[in-house]
Amino acid sequence: MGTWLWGRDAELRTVDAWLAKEGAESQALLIAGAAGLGKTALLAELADRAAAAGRRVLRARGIATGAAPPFWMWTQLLGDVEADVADRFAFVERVFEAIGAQAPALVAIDDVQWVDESSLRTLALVVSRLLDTDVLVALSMRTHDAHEGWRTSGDDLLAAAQPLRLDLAPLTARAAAHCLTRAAGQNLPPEVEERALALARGNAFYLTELGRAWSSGGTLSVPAGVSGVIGGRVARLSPRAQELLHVAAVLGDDTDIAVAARCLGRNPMQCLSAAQEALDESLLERDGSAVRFAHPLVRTALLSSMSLQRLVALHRRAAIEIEQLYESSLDDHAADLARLWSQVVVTGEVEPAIAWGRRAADIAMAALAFEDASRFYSLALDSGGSSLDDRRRAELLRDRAIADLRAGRMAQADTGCRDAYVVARRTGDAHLVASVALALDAIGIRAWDRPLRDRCEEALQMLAGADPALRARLLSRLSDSLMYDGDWDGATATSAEALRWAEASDDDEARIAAYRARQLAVSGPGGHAERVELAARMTQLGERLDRPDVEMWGRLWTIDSRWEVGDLLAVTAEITRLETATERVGGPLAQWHLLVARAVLAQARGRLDEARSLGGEAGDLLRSTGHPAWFGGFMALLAGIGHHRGHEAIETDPPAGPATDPGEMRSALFGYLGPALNLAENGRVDEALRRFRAAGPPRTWDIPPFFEISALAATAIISVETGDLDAVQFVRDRLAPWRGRHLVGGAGVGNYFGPVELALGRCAAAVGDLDDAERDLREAVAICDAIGVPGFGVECDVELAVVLQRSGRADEAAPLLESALVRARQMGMTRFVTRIEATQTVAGRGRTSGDELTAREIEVARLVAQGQSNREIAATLVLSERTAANHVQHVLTKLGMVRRTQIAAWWPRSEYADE
Amino acid sequence: MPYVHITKTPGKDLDDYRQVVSAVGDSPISGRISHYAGTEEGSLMIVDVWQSRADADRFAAERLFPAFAGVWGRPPEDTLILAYDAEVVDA
Repeated sequence: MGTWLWGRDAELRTVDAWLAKEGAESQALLIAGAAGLGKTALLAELADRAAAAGRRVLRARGIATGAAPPFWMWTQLLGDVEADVADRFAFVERVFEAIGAQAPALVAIDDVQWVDESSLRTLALVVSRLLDTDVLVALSMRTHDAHEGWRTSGDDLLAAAQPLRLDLAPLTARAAAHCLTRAAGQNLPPEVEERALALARGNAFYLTELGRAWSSGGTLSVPAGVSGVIGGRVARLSPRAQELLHVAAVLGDDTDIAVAARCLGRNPMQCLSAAQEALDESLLERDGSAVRFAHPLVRTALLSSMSLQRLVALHRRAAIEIEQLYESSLDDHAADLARLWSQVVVTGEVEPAIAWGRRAADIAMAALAFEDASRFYSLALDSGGSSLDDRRRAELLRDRAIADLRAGRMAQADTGCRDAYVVARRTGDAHLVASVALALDAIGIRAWDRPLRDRCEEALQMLAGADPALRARLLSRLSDSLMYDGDWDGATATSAEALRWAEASDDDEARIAAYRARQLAVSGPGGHAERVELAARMTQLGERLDRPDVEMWGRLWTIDSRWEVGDLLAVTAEITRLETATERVGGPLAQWHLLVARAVLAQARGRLDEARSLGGEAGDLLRSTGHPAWFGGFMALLAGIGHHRGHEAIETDPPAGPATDPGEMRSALFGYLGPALNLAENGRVDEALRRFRAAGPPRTWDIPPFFEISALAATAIISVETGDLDAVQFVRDRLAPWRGRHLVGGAGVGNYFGPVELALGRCAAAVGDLDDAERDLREAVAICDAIGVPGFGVECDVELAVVLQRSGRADEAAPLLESALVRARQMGMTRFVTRIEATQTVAGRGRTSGDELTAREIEVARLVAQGQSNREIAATLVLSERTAANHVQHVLTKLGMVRRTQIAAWWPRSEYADE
Repeated sequence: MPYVHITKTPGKDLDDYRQVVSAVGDSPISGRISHYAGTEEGSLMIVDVWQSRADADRFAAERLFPAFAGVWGRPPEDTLILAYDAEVVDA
């Protein structure tokens, strides 16, 4: 046990218990405390004990200077982690797999408060899954002096890891005295010990420094503070060793002797003895073949002892020497060079800091370390100050906004892009203005999209002469922003123009942008034919360019369009091709699309357990990446699967976060209809109705084209289940032109609700149009049989049977229900088994004279027919809600009905209507 | 420009030298053109020719320093060093 662990018996017992998973409070541990209390020593001891217990130990530590290559923490843990992946989500997945493969393992991260934000954010995404495997995570954290990365993402990491927290307190007086004596190697005179203990106040590092100072000097002429003690120890080294240490402090946490020697104008061989001297004095320590400061406080003390002038000169010299020494691998040192040169700008020499800041940022962007990139773009901007011309300032602001966007910092990206645009306009350079206008994607939030739209329009006006590719890209972006702003017609016209310019441009990136914009603009059911064509072009382009990501989108669009016409054989074949493309793309997002496509196909084919299993896999995958779309996408998928299988008791409200903005129409409709559908199909009619009505009357809805069919499919179910006859009629009107089509939603279909005729038949029955209902439902049955969607076949048969019962043809209904029941049971259609059995019971009993409605029930039936919910009926009739619900149920039973809409449809023609 | 690096370490011989070479290991030494070791008047003499000074510096810091620690515990303190960029090369 090292000196610094003296007096830490209780903490070591906690560590042992944690390693043995006794109590299993958490598989993560946070050792927290002020500088010098012995966190690093305790973490090292923990790692040794974990290794002795058979765990593989992966170590990393935060860098005090904050200047390290992108994802440095992961590089330390895993070796070279090349981010040659499609996106950040794929990177997270790769990291998870690499660490998971080491289990049983301990991940030990020292000085986590100094780890870069990019690494911390990926750790936050991966940590809870890691803890599900046999991987322990131990962090040491200094309670003050955190870097920006920890300040912005530390809470997320702690929330995800839920670590057991071990706060290191100062050593007790007895332990402190032992610590001091051990460091000094002898007993100290009582008055010296007393003074030392009073100074150190239980700080193990300080005590150790004091003990060493005593043993090497034999005196304790203590200046106040630990820096003074370290300074005193350094002062007793040879001049060469002192020089070396001061230069090393400038170089950072690790001591590069070759660079240090060059800074001193010496041969490295001449510096080895000096380095050894500092090692002997425990001011430096070996870390494998490298040498570093024994404690970050040693470096801090050395830096604080130097004048500003000397510091600046040493930083400059170090930067120049690194540039020469590592000429062939400068990218590996870009972050450090940016840091060193940024310390030189006080002299007016700003260009190297700007250049290295940009280079470090570009490298971080390429490595997908967006937070790092943003920090280095900021460093370049700050270093450049007023000496940056407008062009360079606009470019740096633009690129930082892109980095912020990709890091998910929407507000910073928005502000940064506005600033970049103002500066870019001053240059009068249309291409620069256009590049800023194209920096951000439209996202469906007006406050964001409208400035984006204005910038694209202005950039288009500024573009003199033909630059078809740039024009196509601006028009594409403009079309997206118009689309999300609700200007469907504007988007349709603009995307068509984008497509023309793109095809004229001979620029494949412009084509990809234009295809995507056009696909979105014509995403309504009326755009089917054009989307078939766009899908084919996108796929061909992907194949020609050997770009699996482009090909993947083409294939997803093809799957959409084949689903819309119910060509499941083509869908099946295309999913096989999609599999190849997604494998090549790699990463969880591509995998999500494939799993969803398979899940929806399985659902349609009546393989509901398989659908749920695939859906669950997809949901877990996307959730683990922290992707903002996971909740909506997963809920849409579950809505389709649960429609037959039965809905699960799931939270229908989206998690807090920036993913949804209830002020926007697009989010609002999704947000109202999804939960309303789930509630309605679970029989929670009142709650469903409340959600549904919150979206306003359907005829006032301005439904985005890409959501039209999904919204109508959901409304067809909700309105019938809740008895909202206006909404039922609205759906009938809107779906009528689309007979022969199918109810599918999402890009790369996210759910399936059967043929349009099924919804039309259900709606016709709800409003009492039994002839229309029968005709539509018989057509739907035939379609389901023809394309092979047996679950929907059952659904059609049940709806048809109810219509037949209501038409007085119970004898025809009975065999339909019998057959449907067998098939529903076979497929695990829990919701429908229950419903069929209830329908059979009603049919079996028939309506007798004993089933005449009571006066109260007549009153209740009238209110149901008016569209009142149970709660409203209860309020009108001054009843409890439960009593109202009982009355409604009695009415349904006596009338041989299963739905409120049937009451509503029956009422006007009933014998009670005039009462 | 080739960089010539000559060291003279008193009190060390070829056995000491071989221990260090073994500790440096087999992995390739980047940028070293030639390497000659011998003894003279009780000193270990080494003449290296490097492709550049940077190569020589990196080797000393990254490979030689840890090797000294492994073999001798510490680097030799009284090594005499002569080094220069070779202006004329006739090889």
